[in-house]
Amino acid sequence: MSISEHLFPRWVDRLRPLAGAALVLVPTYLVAMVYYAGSPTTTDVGYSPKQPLPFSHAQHAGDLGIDCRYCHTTVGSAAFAAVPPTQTCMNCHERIAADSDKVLLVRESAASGKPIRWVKVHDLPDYAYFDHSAHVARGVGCASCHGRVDTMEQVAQVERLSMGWCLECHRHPEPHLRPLDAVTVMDYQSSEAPEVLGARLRAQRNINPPVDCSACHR
Amino acid sequence: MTEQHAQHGYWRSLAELAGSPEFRAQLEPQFQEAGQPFVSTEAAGDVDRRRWLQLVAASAALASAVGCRWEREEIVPLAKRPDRRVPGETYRIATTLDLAGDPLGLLVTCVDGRPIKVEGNPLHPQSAGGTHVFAQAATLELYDPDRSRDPMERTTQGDEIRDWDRALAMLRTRFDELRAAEGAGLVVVAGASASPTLAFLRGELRKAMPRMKWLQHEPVGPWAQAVARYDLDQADVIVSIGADLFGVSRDGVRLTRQFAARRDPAAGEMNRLYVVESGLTVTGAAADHRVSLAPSDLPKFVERLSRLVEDGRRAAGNEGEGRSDAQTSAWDRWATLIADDLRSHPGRCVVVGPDDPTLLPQVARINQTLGVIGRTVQYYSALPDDVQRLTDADLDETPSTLLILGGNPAYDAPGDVDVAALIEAADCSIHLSLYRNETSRWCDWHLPQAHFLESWGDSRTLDGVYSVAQPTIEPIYGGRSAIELLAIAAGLEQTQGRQLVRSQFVRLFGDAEWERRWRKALHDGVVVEKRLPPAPAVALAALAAGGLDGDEQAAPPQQSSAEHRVEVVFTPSEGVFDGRFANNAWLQEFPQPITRLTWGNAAVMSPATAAAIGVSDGDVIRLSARGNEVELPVCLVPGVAGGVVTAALGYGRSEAGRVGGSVSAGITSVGASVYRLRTAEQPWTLRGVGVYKAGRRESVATVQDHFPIDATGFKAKTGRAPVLVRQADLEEYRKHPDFARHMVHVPHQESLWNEPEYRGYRWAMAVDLSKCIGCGACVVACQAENNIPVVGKEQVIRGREMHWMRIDRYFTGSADQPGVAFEPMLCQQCELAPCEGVCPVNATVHSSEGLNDMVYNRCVGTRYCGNNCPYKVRRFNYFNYHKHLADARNEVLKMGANPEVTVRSRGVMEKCTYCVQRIQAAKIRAKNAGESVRDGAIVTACQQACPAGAIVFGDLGPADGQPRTAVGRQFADPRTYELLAELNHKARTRYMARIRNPNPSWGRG
Repeated sequence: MSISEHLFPRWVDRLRPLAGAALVLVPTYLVAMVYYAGSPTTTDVGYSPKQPLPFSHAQHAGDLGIDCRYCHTTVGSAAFAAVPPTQTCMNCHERIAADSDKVLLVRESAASGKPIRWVKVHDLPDYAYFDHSAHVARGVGCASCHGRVDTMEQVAQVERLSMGWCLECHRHPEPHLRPLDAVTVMDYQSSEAPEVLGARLRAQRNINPPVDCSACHR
Repeated sequence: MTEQHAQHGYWRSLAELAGSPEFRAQLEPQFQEAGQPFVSTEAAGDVDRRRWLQLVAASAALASAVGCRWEREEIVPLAKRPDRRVPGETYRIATTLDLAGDPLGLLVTCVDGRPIKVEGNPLHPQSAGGTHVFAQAATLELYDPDRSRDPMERTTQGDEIRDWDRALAMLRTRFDELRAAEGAGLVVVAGASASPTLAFLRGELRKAMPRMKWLQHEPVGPWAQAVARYDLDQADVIVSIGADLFGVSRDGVRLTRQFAARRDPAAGEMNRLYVVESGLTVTGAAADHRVSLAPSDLPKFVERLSRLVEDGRRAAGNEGEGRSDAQTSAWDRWATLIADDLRSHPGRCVVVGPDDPTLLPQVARINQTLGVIGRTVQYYSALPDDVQRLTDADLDETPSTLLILGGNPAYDAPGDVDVAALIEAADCSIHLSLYRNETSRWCDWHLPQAHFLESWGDSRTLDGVYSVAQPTIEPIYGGRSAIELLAIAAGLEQTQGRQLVRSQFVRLFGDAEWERRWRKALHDGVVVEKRLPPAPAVALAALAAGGLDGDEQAAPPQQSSAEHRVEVVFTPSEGVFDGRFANNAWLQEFPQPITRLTWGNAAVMSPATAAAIGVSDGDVIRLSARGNEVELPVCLVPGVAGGVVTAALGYGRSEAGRVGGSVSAGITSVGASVYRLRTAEQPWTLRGVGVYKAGRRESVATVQDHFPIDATGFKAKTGRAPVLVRQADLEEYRKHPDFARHMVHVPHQESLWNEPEYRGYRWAMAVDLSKCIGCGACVVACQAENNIPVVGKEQVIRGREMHWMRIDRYFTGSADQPGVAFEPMLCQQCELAPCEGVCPVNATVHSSEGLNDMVYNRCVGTRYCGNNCPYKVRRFNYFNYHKHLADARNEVLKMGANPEVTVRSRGVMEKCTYCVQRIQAAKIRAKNAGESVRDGAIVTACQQACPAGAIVFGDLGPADGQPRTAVGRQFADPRTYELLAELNHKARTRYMARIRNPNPSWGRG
């Protein structure tokens, strides 16, 4: 057995420039991947799927000033802020804009009993268990997570909804706390600094957001 | 014997007692096969480690190429939401399970219209909140994709699917003809039922067709002429002879609760339980004194006891023919002691007899002498007046129409009753059934039955408590219930289940208030404030005039070739009951309390019997009687009477489904059917059964040596052997109430880690070993609550069962007369958890409330945590056990999953988290109301199911000061001890030592 057998064969030399390129490219690739993983594309900020019918939150919640809870009735008492049944739409649309093409699907649904298939915008992973009531009853405003829905023609996701984003607030909830009667107010401005108000409300209501894993993952 | 056994005398199995290599292998680190060739379930062949790594790398590369976009999800709200329905929130519906005529009130948890979990109804006296395993597994049966979906007609061209209209038209025509003939030739076969509506409809049918015959067939009985209803609240002394009170028995849940309520030595006078039995049952395991006798010896023992109780005389010693004097005098002594104890508790004792037409009246006579009939026991007729037993029926003419309402008589009738021939002989046979089972395949028509969770019904206990059964979901497969079919057959105008039950309610509670009462009954599930008259009692004791005349069973003709003969005792299966649950995977994989077997039955015998035959664990034997043969693997259980083999009914189904076995689909049956050996004369025991060695071995899926806590290893490592189960007699407890804490010296230890401080809730659990009878309802409840997968027989044999909760069974004493102790084992939620420190990816971390959280998403499957857990409570997903759900046929099973618990995938560790989803739900509810969580507001699944009330869960409260919560008080109880306290884990799960109440005179010679 000669020593040459343990050496690299001669053609390996041709790979040298490639190795040089890899030295540059691999770290770049890794940095790019990490950036991509945290970018809005991945976290779905700005995700705004087309809905089956052109329901405008800007018109209903903004111009008409309908409270969030008129439709999302269960938000204060249950985990899910239920999307309303067709019946709720028909409370008004029985008469208002009853002939409009835009509410055709609503009328059909009410007549046939077949549900409208909305597309979910704020979609948490299935292993994260979020409870609306726990937040609304503490005085976290709707807009803190959902943004200014009252200005959206078609609802879009504005926050990252990532675990890091959740924990920011769970560790430091003060800026997002409001009086309970202002939870659904979209353009809420407190008379005092949000931090000061938040600190007072936090002490008052004994708010200690959990940061345990099992708070959200079961 | 290892030193540990010599020291403390607890052993899990005969293998451990003997210190066998197999058991030692189980004590090795939990995941022994790491590094060994990887074998897939499909048995695709061995894959070595290098090849495996290559595959993993390739699949990782593929996975990353797919990208990471969320899938598009839809929100589909109901067009019209029912009043007070909140999407995604659970609600409960009260209903009743009528299992072979034994009603159990239930509360069914539903979410978005689908039932997901079954609990006991605290208002129902039979349940009082507890359940048995069968109720816990009901949701899996409901969604079973193998249930039949369409009526089927057997034609000359084969089986044809029909629609319901056609089937009902046939039924109507048929019964119109029968009505014209006054029902001549009509035979109805039905199971036992506690339903007043069904009884009413039977009467209506008889009115229309007076000449019809109604036959009852219930393979697990009652076979005696009466059923007994025991009341153990007031019984200080309980003597159980040949019965399994707390196991698979009538009223098992209520009796367990009543028994356990008086097993807390601090809560008043304890009761005392004597058990005389042939096999080993959970009742025998709970006994203060247990005597094992062959079934052929039971009548003599009852006779002796009867004489001793009646006149206090010492029974003449000449009964023990063919027995040594020592044996006879031992019997005499036991019988005398038991009789003395009974006589010294007049009116506050009870003797429980077997379901045997000869022995039960004799036992009733003893109870009459003791003056307890009407107090602790009452006897009721086993059958309604106008109903005969299928096996007693004298079918003088061949039935023209045979209507079989549920059940499976072609499979589960005794071997000497040929039901298939009866069905074949009938002109038209109609079978209503959940599954297209063995019986359906003989019948001309098969009609799918609605599950009890899909149908209306009612029931009435023997003492007159009414409860309603209401649907929790529309029939998924479009079935109909027995009462609906009967109403059609009887030609009634009302044929809707709800109308039938409601009309019956009006007849029962027909006062001005019935409507309010009906609404309340629908809410509560049970009518509490008004009792119906109890069933008429029967004077059973009067039948027992004769002595031993009737009980001598003729031995079958001797078979010359049999070397050995045994007595076979048939028992209902603790898993699949009489076989009706054979297609329920939770129940198939449920470790049967005593044998710890899953997926099948066995010939259970004592080591001495096995030695005499020359077989050992896993050898297959052939039992042969009257030309019928059954092959079963041997399972050794100490404490079974000599010369006795016990065998569970309900296995060996040939047409159960894809789980239990289906010959037509080419799926092997689970276990073997012993119904063929049974006779209608002697349904529970059979003498003179020949035993032959089959000359092969079969691997039985027993979990008895799986996940053993390595007591021996601790002895080697720390110089101390832990005492896992701690028990003492009442006398010793009175002297030293805190004996359990001093059984092991625990030196003061400093932790290497920073000990966390707990300011908020401190969740903890206490398990009372004095109350636990080892029934295992908690195991199935945990499985249902936490979406725990089933792994199958092959994987169980490899020690990969996934139950988060197991019930360790320990024997003490000798292999001839062992004591049995159960210890439910679940994550101990150690404050200084050994699993946490070794996890390289922080997938298991401690919560601020003391829970040992498991983060599935972080877990990479190193399994270090499992190896470092001294309690062996962590389970690893070797495969994707939910893969079958991707098959469109099985998708319906997803409806039964608990949406509040993540479904784990392959490669992830999992374990008990004290039902953290229930904790979070209760915390959020309390916080929203501005309160703190009330003590008792959180009930874990195991605690809720426990019929004995052995599990208490809650907040420990502040570390200093008086305990203010239930679990806090339990922790302060001197009986409470920590398992492996010497390891300084500060476990949050603690055990309360088992106290037994033996007869002080028993041990003295």
